[in-house]
Amino acid sequence: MLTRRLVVGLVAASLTLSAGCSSHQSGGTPAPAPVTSSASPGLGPRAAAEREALAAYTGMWQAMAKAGEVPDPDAAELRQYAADRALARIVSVLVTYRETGVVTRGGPVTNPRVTGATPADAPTEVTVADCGDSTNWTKHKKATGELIEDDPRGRRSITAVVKSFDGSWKVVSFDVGDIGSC
Amino acid sequence: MLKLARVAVAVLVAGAVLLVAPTPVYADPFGDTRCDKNPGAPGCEVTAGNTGTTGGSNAGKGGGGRGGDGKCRNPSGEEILCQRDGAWAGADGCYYRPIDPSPSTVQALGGQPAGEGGWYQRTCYGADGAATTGLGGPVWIAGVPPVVSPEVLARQARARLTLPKVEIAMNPPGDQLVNLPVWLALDRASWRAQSATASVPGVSVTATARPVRVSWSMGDGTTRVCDGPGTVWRPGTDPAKASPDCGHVYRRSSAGTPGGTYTVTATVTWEVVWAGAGQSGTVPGLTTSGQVQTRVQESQAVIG
Repeated sequence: MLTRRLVVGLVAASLTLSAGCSSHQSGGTPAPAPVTSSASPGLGPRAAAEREALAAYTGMWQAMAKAGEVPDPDAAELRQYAADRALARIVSVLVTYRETGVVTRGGPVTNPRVTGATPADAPTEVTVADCGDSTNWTKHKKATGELIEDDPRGRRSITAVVKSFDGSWKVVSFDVGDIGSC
Repeated sequence: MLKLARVAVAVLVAGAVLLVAPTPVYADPFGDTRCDKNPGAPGCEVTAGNTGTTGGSNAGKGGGGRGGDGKCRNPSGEEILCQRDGAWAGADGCYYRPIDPSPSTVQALGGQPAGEGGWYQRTCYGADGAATTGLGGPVWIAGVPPVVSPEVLARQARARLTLPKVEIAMNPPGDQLVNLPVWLALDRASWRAQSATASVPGVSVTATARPVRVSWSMGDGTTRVCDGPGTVWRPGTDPAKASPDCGHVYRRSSAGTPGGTYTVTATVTWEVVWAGAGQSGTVPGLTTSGQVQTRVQESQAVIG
């Protein structure tokens, strides 16, 4: 019985995901805004947790892309979706962009899926796997806007840990693989 | 001799190439977040949390740095440029430039470590010059600066400045009245230039902070900026007379606020200049602030 409910939840979650995917592929645009909470009634705690975790993961990369246009290491949106080591890494990169006169344009295309959730019935920690694509996420010299050519881009395998902080989901760590790793 | 000269030329050429394309780049933004080439960076330590120090404490140590001959070397003993893109060579062969991350950035990087030290932007270059062995990044270097330059010493001197507490002298003393001028002033001890010195053998730099303005947030939604500490009201002065240089008039009683008082905050902005080793310059400014609570009453209540 419980298993069946879980399966239904997972199918619902993966349907949401594939909807997100197809919009990426057709438009080539950054991922859509995170699903609003009003969509959650009817979902079990596990499905809701997975959905929030995926939204935080997507939100984090989109917030990094947005902050990279300035670049603004103090962007509030980053802190909404990332904490701990994940936030430290992204802020560190944005500080470096600012100090070295780099801005980013565009954004990554992400397509995350849940690989684990604990505790299983009402998760507070969700692990996510993704194949992130940086093809349309470019680096430029801030002064001139010139594209920084020496900038290999492509698909990278990414795993992340997303945690609930009193119901607010944030990515706490992630690992990025080599270009071509997925 | 000839060989040394050739090496020097090669170094200079490498430097010239860098001036054309100084931006250290080796990855897309995803790749820039990776730790494998940047193990000491904030968020890369295995035990990283929201406490403790960020990496890089060994950054200034190693066999390299500026030797007694005035030349800079990397840990393998090869001569490198002493200065690159506004940063100075450290003993690890990487380059360091002092930075001033905001409180929110510092928080995200793991918090402000205790004790003396400084935040630096670290950049490491690869053997081929233009490429880098790591993106580098902001690091906290505890203790002695990783590099010696008057500018870096100036940051250190600035960190040693002890600025006076902001003592507010709002007058007339006691409760204020609606529609009656308030004289805004700071105790003179809050408005005095302060100096501090940092030195290494042979170089000494003094940083001096001077108060330049004070911003008064009055608690009633208004802010007044004054270029000086203000004039202290003296008994015997006509209470209806406004301060000659820094004053405010409350138009609403504080009765409706939580606690029945307004919180007055005075924030002093300090400019910091430095001088030493035959050079001088400015470093980012500092602020100090103080608060008082004040009750503002309707004047007719007193008269009636």
